[in-house]
Parts: sequence; structure tokens; C-alpha cells
Amino acid sequence: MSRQTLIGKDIPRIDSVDKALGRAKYAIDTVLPRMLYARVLRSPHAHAKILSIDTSEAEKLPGVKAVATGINDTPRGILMGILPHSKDQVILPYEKVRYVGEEVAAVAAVDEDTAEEALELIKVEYEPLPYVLTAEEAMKEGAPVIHDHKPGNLAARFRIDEGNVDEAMKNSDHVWEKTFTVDVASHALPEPFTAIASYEASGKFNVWVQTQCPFQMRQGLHNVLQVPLSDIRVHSLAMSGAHGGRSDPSPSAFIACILSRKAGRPVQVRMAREEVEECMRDKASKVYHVKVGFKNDGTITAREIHTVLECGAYASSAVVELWVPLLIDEVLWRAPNYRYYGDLIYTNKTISSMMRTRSGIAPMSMDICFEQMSEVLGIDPMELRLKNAIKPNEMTPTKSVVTSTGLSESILMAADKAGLSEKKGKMGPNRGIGIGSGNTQCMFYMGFRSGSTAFIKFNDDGSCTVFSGSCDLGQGNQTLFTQVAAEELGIDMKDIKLCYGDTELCYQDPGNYSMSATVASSQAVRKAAQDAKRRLLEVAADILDVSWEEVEMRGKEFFVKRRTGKGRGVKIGEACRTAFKRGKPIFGFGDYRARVDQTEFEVGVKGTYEEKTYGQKVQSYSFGTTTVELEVDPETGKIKIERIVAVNDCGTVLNPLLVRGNMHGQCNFMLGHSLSERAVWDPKTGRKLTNSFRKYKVPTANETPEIETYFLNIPDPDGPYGAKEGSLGFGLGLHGAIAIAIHDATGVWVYDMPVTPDKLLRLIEERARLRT
Amino acid sequence: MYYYRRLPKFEYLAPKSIDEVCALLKGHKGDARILAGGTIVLHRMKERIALRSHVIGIKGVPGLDAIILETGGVRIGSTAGLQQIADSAQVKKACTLLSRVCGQLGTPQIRNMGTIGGNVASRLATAETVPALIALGASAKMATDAGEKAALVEDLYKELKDGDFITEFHVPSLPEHAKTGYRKFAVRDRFDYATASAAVVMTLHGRTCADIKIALGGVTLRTMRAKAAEEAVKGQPVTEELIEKAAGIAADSGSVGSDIMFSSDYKKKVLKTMVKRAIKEAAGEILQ
Amino acid sequence: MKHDIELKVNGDVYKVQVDTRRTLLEVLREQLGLTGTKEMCNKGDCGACTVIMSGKTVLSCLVLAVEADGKKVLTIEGLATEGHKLHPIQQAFVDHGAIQCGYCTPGFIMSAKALLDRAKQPTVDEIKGAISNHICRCTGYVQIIEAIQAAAKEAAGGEK
Repeated sequence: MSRQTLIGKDIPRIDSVDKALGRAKYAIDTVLPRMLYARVLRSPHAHAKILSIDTSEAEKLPGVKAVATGINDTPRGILMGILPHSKDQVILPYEKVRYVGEEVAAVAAVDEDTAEEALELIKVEYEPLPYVLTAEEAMKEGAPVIHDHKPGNLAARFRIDEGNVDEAMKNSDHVWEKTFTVDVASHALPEPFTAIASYEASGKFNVWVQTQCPFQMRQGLHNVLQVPLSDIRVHSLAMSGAHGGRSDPSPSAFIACILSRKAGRPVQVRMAREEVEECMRDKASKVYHVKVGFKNDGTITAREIHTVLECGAYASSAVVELWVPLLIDEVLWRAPNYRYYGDLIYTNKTISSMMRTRSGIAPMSMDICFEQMSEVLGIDPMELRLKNAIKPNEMTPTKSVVTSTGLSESILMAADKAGLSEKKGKMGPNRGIGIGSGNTQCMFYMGFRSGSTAFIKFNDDGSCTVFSGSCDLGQGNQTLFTQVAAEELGIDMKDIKLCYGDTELCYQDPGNYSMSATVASSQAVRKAAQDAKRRLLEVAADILDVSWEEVEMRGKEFFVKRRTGKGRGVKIGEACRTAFKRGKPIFGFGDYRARVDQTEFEVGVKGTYEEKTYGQKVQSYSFGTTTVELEVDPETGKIKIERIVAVNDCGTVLNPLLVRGNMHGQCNFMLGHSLSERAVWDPKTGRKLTNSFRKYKVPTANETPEIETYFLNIPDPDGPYGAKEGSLGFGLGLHGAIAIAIHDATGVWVYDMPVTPDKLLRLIEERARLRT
Repeated sequence: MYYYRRLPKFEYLAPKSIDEVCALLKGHKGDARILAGGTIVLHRMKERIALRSHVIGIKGVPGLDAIILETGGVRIGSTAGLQQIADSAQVKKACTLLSRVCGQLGTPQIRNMGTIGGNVASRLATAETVPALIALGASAKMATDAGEKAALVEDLYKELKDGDFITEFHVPSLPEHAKTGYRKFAVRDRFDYATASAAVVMTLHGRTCADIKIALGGVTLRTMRAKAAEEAVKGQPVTEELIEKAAGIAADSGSVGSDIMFSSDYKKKVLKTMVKRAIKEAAGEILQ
Repeated sequence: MKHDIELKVNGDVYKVQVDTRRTLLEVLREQLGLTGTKEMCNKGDCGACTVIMSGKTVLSCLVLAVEADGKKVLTIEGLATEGHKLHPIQQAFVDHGAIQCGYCTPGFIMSAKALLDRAKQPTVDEIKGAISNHICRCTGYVQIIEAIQAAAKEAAGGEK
């Protein structure tokens, strides 16, 4: 009898036991013999020329073993950045600093007390320059130029113009227009960023560092340090969640390498919490202007979006975030004429990167649009949504085909489970309900790394090890890969060991962005398992003297199909040993290339980076709809979220226990970004002020509402067993759902996130004044 | 820019009696810091705020955390823990408002580690025990250079000098028919410091207020006792309109600064709401 | 300045020499090798460094090592028995998906232990109150609350 399928089962994560015991080793827990401890001296200025750095006193301090500065140690002529045209950063600056907290010098010492003391002995001479803290200021005529090769502080520009938007708007029966804003938010990640490098006498760097992609980290180190790929090993590690905040290598990893090479000993670079908050990554703030044309019957005729994002001092992965609102918006609601203009602007602030609540403002704008237009058109907002919602196999304005979508189904189900029509307008004073939809991309084009390769090696008892280059930041990838391999091979999960995220042992992998672990990495594992299974079947068939198509697996044994009774069975161990003896050990090799097209890149004149992309940019899209029920305290503006209903179109749900948890996490992030999380800078010094969990208001358990989760289980043609990502897309509608619920509760419309209590109170009071 | 993970260098002293504490404070005048629970002092030291080179740990002084019920009130040693006070049968008997306020302060860990003396001596506008102590008419005993001194908690802003050491609090028992009210506003209820709070102790004769004390949290220490608001309520029949008016007077009288999250304007509005709700709670059924 | 102190951690007695400025968290992690207790903010704002000292949950990053002299300390490593047999609370966390990246997990488990040691049938509100110092970015807290409820139920059911 074949083993029951694992797909769709609640499977506890295989790494949970070690984590519950406190045995999982994160970078900060990793100790190597004779390891030195390093700290980084950082700029006190938001924008300044570096005139000189004198480390002589620091070098004399007993216990100091290595010192690095940009002037001495940064290789010239090599810039870092995730895309060819967005490279703008060096590991340690030698000309100027561009935000408060930027790396300037680093010291490795026998203990951290000494390293901290040594930093105080380094003398740096700066020439402060004027700085800008908002995109608006940065774009003004005569604003200080942050990067010389980017005039007007324009880091990147994105332009899409499909059909004839102006004509369509002119001919529309109604045009709706609004501007939305969202403040900078921070990832506030649990693990204080730590990077360890150990330089061996052979010239090899062993590196332990929290990263969303070990291969991208290796590539970055290779580019900057100019050593062969094989001389860099990024090790597998337990890592805390990144949520988009470790999407590109940060200077600390390089600094650890340089110091280790200088000292001839392993070096661990550590950060204080304030450093992590001020000097790692944020989410770009956005100004988002939307114009939508409607016919009287509610059909959208055209949509036009102008958006400005701030990326902070360097472009990092914000250069991709620039077109994420497009990737989200064009896929939710049909628009035959479509314009998207996005500008990414440098400011002298903490670098922005991707974030798991990415561009939730895009779906929010349309959800509010439908609610407001419903009154103008006299059409129910649900009907408006369903009329314009994308259907399976439709093509977006930029020529991506949406192969699977349950958007409409999720809208209907969420409304039904929440009792939307019974509750809207009827929940009593200061209470309201709202609904919002979202989506995200599963596996977008990532150049050379748009696919994953996996390998499986077998032991002679039939157990095996799966090698996958993907890593696990807590989403449950280890469990996912093991589950998929076990499913295909027909053995138990406990018979499978996983070697993951090690650049020396594993093949290339896209890393944990764009939810590629579910759609690409696990597909590669699946194919490798299928490959191994075929070899096993062939060996067993040979032993049983039949063709491999006549063999089936029952339990962990191979039998001839349709032969009942106790015929000769070949245990999997026997098959493995036989294969060994024949000189053809069992293994499995699988590669999965995402079904995405090459994109076109266009570099504009004057060094601005312009991009236009067409074709299948994303393999598949996940969708979902959420409703929110909340209560407002009209005298303080404070909002209490009572209940969330979340309907997830994530294809086949491989492990509901896992996906539910990921959904709760997304709700938590969206709630924080909607209600209380806002990064704040001091205009007088340019320093980020919200640099702790106390000052930066991330939600605690007390702010957690009741969350009900539902799955549509509509299989996707490309995903493993029909799966898509399940932890992100469904929840992007929460900004809109909250805004609509606030309107239901108070009559007030909010267009700016987060809706902090003071903001809402002001709007409530304004409305009361206007009505008297 | 310096970012520190480690505490700075300092000398640690562990006296075993109040006299020893005073001697050390005198001997290291201006250069010593009392360490009780550590939740505020060590936090500040990590941030390199107001550093002193000597730290005097007082948790080892025996008896300093005692809670003793007497006729007329309860004596609470300055190192009595916040959770200890919240759980204390004596405090609940004499002045339950204090037990309630301590029980709602911060988080379980903060309450396990923090002390009432540390909370008051922090001089933070957001020190949540202070409004309750003021509304209860509490006083503090201090050991100073010039010997022992006592002062009402509401006067500590001027009476407690650098180098003085609070040894205990005396909280009078609530008068027999006194009612209390307490409201606090924090962005994250059971985590953040209270942006604004109000503690009220009121005695009614029928529907008229015979006596009331109103204390504000989130304002400067000097303006914590809302005397003008109390005067507006004392001797008057307690109505919704009166409460609204008094809350407005109280909010106006409190001196409030802006912070990273909120403007002082907003905080005043919230403060007014907290006062209103706290008085309403104390007024209870008479408003029905 | 160095002090000789004695820490009773998880039933073992450690005699260590610590600098004045060392916190209990630093000594546990760096001198005793007990890296299960985590450093997240190092300032008391996150709960990740929570241990149970003298029977109460404390933030070990804000406890001077010299002030822990002679005290009994329980860390995450002290919960399992016979090496790796999970404590029921740890098992509940595993079974209910309450652990994602796992960095905040030890802190939550210690607070859960302290709660269940004194409250046999805690309400959801009481559970939220017991874990109010703890920051988690991955789980959204829902499965953590479910795990603690399950552990409480199991403990109540297990009592004869």
C-alpha cells in the first residue's frame, strides 16, 4: 500500500524542535576559535565629505588586531548594487558619506569592549554638506546632489504607457483621481545583524551572515573582493526573518572579510539595535497619484499612476520596489489603457529595500476608488470589483499572462464569511467593516538566477540528503523541501536530510525573494526527486526483471504492479546497494527555470536608469482578499482591530499549518504599517529617531485581533502540486480594508498610511467642524 | 556616530544599610547613581545618557522592600517591586488604586524588576506610579545630606535633590467612601509608556463632590497635580458638563512636550479625555 | 573590576569571574555558552532575553551579572529533560506552528512557563498580558497564543 499523500497535511516544521530547545545557531551565536569582535564607526553626518581618517591611536590600543577604512581598504572602481545600472555603493566610503550611520571605519579586537573603546580613538575629519530628507526637497532645483552621476537625485525611472490613456480618459463617463501617501516603515528584524568571516591561509573566505540569498551574497563578495567564487563559502545558518530587509549584501559582510584577511583570524562584526535600525534597511515611502476612468456601467477604461519613491542614500533593491506597484496593480483590475510613471529619488536617509508589505498602497487606492465610485455610479462596490477583476489567462498591459487567479472567488468568500453586507453601515457607532484585495508575484525575472537547481544523494539504506541552494528565514522552506522530496520519493520525511543554503555544497538558487522558494526552489527539489525515483524504479525493475513502467512503490518497497499477494519486493535499501555495486549510485538532479521572459532594459540619457519591461515578467501570481472589523475611539483616534477574515488564493496549500502562520505574520506586518509604524527623522541632524522597538511601534500580541483564514485551493498550472506563495499577496489588501472600515465607522476617508491616532482624530474633528 | 552594545565602565557598590547608601552618596557626591530594578538606569547607561562613574546597587539593603499596613495607611519601602505592590493584600486593603496602577504598568518583566522608588526617582513625565501616589496624597521619606526629610510626592519635583535617596513611601488609606478612577493612553496598551494618564480619588456626598484629587501623567512633574481642575469640581454637583469642564482645565494646566510620535496638542487632547474618563469612573452610578 | 560570582543556572552551579559591566545575558551567552537566551534589542524592549530568576521573569539584558550572584536562574536550556525531551510548552509550540524563524521563541517560552506555573487556566487576555513584553515579527502571535492555550489545557488535563 502506498503511503498517504503529504500534500495538504499540517506538518510541524522540522527545524522547530531545535528552535524550541534554544539550540538553533544564528550568526550571533556562532563562535569560532580565536574569533575577533569587530564594531563599525559610523558617520554622524547625513551628508559630508571625508577629509581624513586617522586610526593610529586606535591601532595602538592593546587588543586591537585589525583596522579598516575606506581610504585604505576599499577597492577603487567597484560599485555595489543589485542591477547593472543601479550600482552606487562602496563597502567603506572614501570620498563622502550620505546618511547618518553610514560605515566609515571598522576595528577588530580581542573582545567587544576593546573594539568599542578603539572606535572612540579614531579621528575623522568631515566637511559637512547640506542634506535632504524628503523626495520633495531632493527633487527641487538646486538641491544637494547625493550621487554625482545621478543629477536631480533621480536614482531610477520607470515608464509604461500602453494604449491611449489620455484619449480614454477624455472619453470616459467619469474620472476619479486621488493622491495617497505611505510613510517610511522599518523591518525591525529580530536578529541584530551579524556577519562572520574567516579568512583561511589558502585564500578562501568562510562567511556566516544573515541573507535572503547566499548566492547573491557570494556574488557580491566575489565582485568586490575580486576572489574566485570557489574561494568564498557562504555557510548555512539559522536566520531570523528578513521580510525583505536582507535582500542585498550590506557592507558589514565585506568589512568582516577584510578585517579577517588583515588579522589572519575569524572576525565577527556586530551591531547594536540602534545600528540595525538606522543603518540597515527600510521600506521606501511613496507618494502615489492615481487617476481612473470609468464608463457608466462601471467598467474601467483607463488607469494612470504617477508615483515617487524615496530610496534613501543608495538604490539597493528599492530599484525593484519602484515597479512593484505596477506588478501588483496591473494584475488586479483590468485596464485597457494604462500608464505607470515611477521615479525613485535619493535622499540622505537609511537605505530602502524590499519589504513584505510592498506597495500595499497600490491595491488600497483601487479599493477606495471602488467604494467612492459606487456612490457616483450607483453600482454596488462589490459589483464594481467583480466586473473589473482579472480573470484566468488574461494578459496584463505589460504582457504578462495571469495563468491562475481566484481573485473574484476570494472577494465573494471574504465578504460572505465576514458578513459584509449585513454589517456594513450597521455595526453601531464608531464600528466599521471594510474589504480589500491584494496580490503578489511568484518568481519574477531575476536574470541569471531565475531558476533553481537541486541535487539528491542516497545512502545505501535508502535514506537520502537533498541539496538546495535556497535558505530558510523562518518561512518553513526546510520543511517544504523535505515534504516535497518525501512526497515524490514515497519515503518518510524523517528519512530525508536537507543541506540548504551553502554555496559550496549546493547549486545556485534565486534566494528568498519574490516568493521563489515555493515556486522555483521546491520545484527543483521535486524534479530532482522525480529523477531519483526514476533511477530507483529502473534498478528495482531490473532486479524484478520487468520494465520500469511495470514497477510501483508500496511502503518503502518496489513491487510489480497488478501482482497481488506477496510477490518479490525490492526494498529501497536493496535498490540503492545494487545500484552502488553496479557503479551507478542512485542520485537525483532537478532544475527548474521560471517561466518568465527576458526583460528589456533601456538606459536613458544623462546616466539616468530607465526601465521598460514587457513580456512574462512573473511566472504566477497569488491573490487574496481580507476583511477588517474595527472600532475607533472617537476621542483619541485610536483604532482597535477586532477581526480579520483572510481568503487566500495561493493555489494548492501544501501545508496549511505553515501557511496559516505565514498569513498571521503578514496580517501583523500590514496592521503595523497601517496603524502605528512610522520611521521618523530629526530634521536638525538628519538622524533617524525611531531606532528601537519602544520608539518604533511594532504590534505586540495585545494588538492582535481574531484572524480567520480560508484557502481557495485552486491549483496553479506551474506551481509544485499547483501551489503558489501564500504568505504575502492575500494580505496586501489590508490597507484598503482598514481605510474602508474606518470610513464605515466614522465617515472619514484616509489616504495616508499609517493612520496613527493623532491623524485620525484630526480627520474626525475636521469632519465634525465641516458638518456644523 | 557611536553605537554601543556594552555598558560603559563603572564601579559597582553594594551597601547593606541605608546609612551606608547615604555615606556612599555623600562620598561620591554628584558622581554616583542609585540602581534599583535596572529597567531605567541600565537602559540609560547603555544609551550613554547621564553617566555616573559609580553605581550603588540598593536591592541588597534588607527591609527596604517591606510593605507594612498600619492604621491610617501603608508604608512601602522604596525597593518594593511593582508586581509585589500589585499583588500585595495590604496595598489592596488600604489604597487599591496603587495596586491597580502598578499592575497595569509596563510588562510582567518590567513589573518584576522595577521598583516604586526607581519609578518615582526617574523623574520621567511618564512614570506611571506618580499620578496615583499624588492622587492618594502619598508622601516620601528621603535620606539626605542634612538628615531625614519628608515631602508629599507632589512636591518631590522641588524637594528631591540630586544625592537624596528615597527610603519609603507612606500612602494614607483611602477614606471610607472614596471612589477612584484611572485611565491611561498608550499606543501599545501593555507595552509602551503611557503617553497620558489620569488618576482620580473622589469623595461624594450624595451627588456633590466633597473632595477630589486629580493627578496627571505624561506631563512635567511640577504640573502633575491638577489643582485648578480640582477646585472646579469640589463642592459642586457632579454632572457630565462639570466633568467635561474640569477635564479641559486639567489638560490646560498640564505642561506637555511633543515627542517622536505625537505633538503636544494631540497629547493634551488625549489627556483631557483620560481625565474625563477617570472622573467618570470615580463618579460611577451617580451619572446614570 | 572583576567579581567572583556563583550562578545557579538550570540546576548547575557555575563559579565565574565577571567584569562589573557584564549583564546576566552576556555571561549566560558568552561565558557559559548558553546561547539559547537571545539578544534582540539588548535594552529591555523586546523580551527575547527573558529568563526566570528567583522564580520571576526578568530581562537578563538589564540585570547586572554581579546582582545575579547566588540566584537561581532558569533558561530555555533548562526546560527539556533527559537531554532533548521537550517540555510540554516547547512541544506545544512545535505542534501549533508557533515557531517560524525561532529567534523570539525562547523568550516567549520562558514567559509562558512563568504564566502556566501560576495560572492553570489562563484566558486569552491573560496570555496576551503575560507575553506583552515580547516582539515577534514572523508569527503574528496567533499560533503562539494557541500553543500556550494548548499547553495549559494539556497541563490541566494531565493533573489527576
